[in-house]
Amino acid sequence: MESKILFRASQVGRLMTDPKLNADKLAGKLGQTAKSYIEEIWLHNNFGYKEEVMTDEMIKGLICEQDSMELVQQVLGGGFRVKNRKNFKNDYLTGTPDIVLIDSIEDLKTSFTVKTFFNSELNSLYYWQGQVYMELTGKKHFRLIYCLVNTPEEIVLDLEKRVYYKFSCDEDNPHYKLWVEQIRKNHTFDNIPAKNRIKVFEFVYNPEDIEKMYRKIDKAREYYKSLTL
Amino acid sequence: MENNEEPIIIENSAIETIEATQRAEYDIQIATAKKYPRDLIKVKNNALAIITMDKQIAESCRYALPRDGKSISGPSVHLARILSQQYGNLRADSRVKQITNNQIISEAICFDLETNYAVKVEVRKSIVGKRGRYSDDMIVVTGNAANAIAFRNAVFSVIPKGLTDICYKKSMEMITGDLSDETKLIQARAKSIKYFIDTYACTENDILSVLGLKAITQIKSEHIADLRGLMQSLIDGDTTPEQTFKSLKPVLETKNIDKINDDKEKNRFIEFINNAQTLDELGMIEQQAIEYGLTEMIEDRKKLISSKNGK
Repeated sequence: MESKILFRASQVGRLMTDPKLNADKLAGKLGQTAKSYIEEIWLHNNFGYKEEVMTDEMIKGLICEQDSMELVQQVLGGGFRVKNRKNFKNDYLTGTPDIVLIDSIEDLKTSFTVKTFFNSELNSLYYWQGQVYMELTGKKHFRLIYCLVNTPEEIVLDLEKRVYYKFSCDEDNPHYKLWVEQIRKNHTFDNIPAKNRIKVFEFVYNPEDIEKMYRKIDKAREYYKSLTL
Repeated sequence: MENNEEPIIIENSAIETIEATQRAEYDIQIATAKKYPRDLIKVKNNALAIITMDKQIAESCRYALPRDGKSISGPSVHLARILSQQYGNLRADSRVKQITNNQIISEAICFDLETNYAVKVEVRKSIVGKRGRYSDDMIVVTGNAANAIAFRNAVFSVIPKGLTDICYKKSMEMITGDLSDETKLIQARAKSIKYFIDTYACTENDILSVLGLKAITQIKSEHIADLRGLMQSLIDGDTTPEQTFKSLKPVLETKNIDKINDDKEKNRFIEFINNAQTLDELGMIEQQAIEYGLTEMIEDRKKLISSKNGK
């Protein structure tokens, strides 16, 4: 049913982006980012169109899920963290949190390098993701945890391979050797103590924000219904 | 102490004897060569007869290797062997001269006994890869490859280029077969590509990258010959599939991600069970651990904890 489209927790932040004009904002209109997101859903639902993007960062996030979980367990302790595989949904939202604990939800983000870890923060996208997870699971506490773990060998080799082509497949080139050495350095973090390799942002369930979100979803569904080719 | 002792002169007669024997051997070989000089027409005809005996032999006469985004090719060590056999009155030898920390140095000598012309060639090959110095086995393999290259270079420095070129050209014609029209070229192209994809699980892009081309349609008859040469180099071990086709490096297959994570999670469970000190701790994970088939392990741990507590 078109009017019953569900919004993914990880994307709700896009829906909540305000329009540029203050008048539009006050009128509760959808921003351009939100419209683009709804259009993507519409194109996918009606024509199967989807822009698949798979970056090294995303692959690392997927493959290092358990490494990050182990690191968090080691540093924060508490109940044994198991990857949650259950999908939660209601009439508006859907989502699969990384970890569901007795009293809280945790979502892990694996940083690609020490620089991305350094710059990591609680952005709007992750804030709304957390709110949606809490709404879906009924938990009142959310922890967004950035983790810095070594990049898997497969990804490092892939990065090296790209440089290899840049240097015309010459493994003896001293610049190539230096570059490769730097790649390894950028993706190995064993020298950083475990406690410094996690960054935690904690927040609680906000019913007002949730209410605001549902209103936005109603607008989004109206916009969805208005779309044509 | 008086220094009135007579100096002792050591005569190394053994060395002199060896040198004399070697000289005599060479003299005999040169004399024999002069007595039975080679017939160049016969050499050429015999070499061509061997080279064109079948397609496999012709293919072995050419090598092709990807270097610097292009394909380099030329007469192979097999052709050098065929030519040196047929040319006659030659002495050719190669050996590993030295192994340094990062290189293997091979030396080859080719001596034309008839003209008394000799060439010595040195070839260096790196024995350091991405993960440091090669293993002993790989150093032996690299040494053999360096010896083969040195041998080839030495032989081709002695045997006239004109003769080598004639034989090489003939082998090329034999390799590519009749590619006189577009249909035959397309068929040969498809066959070659299929061979590499089927045998080495590489991609079309890998093949294009090896040839330094951008599109399959750019593959012409000379490239077909390059690919055949590459086949030969891979079979001979002059190069490896991983060195040739970069996509063969152990890249991550996204379809394996779930399995990787499941394996890691199972290991975390095992570690947790082994370290659990109380039954409550085990109770926390019991339900999920069962999904990984760790029931027995949990029961054993429970018994151990209970027996400890009992004591």
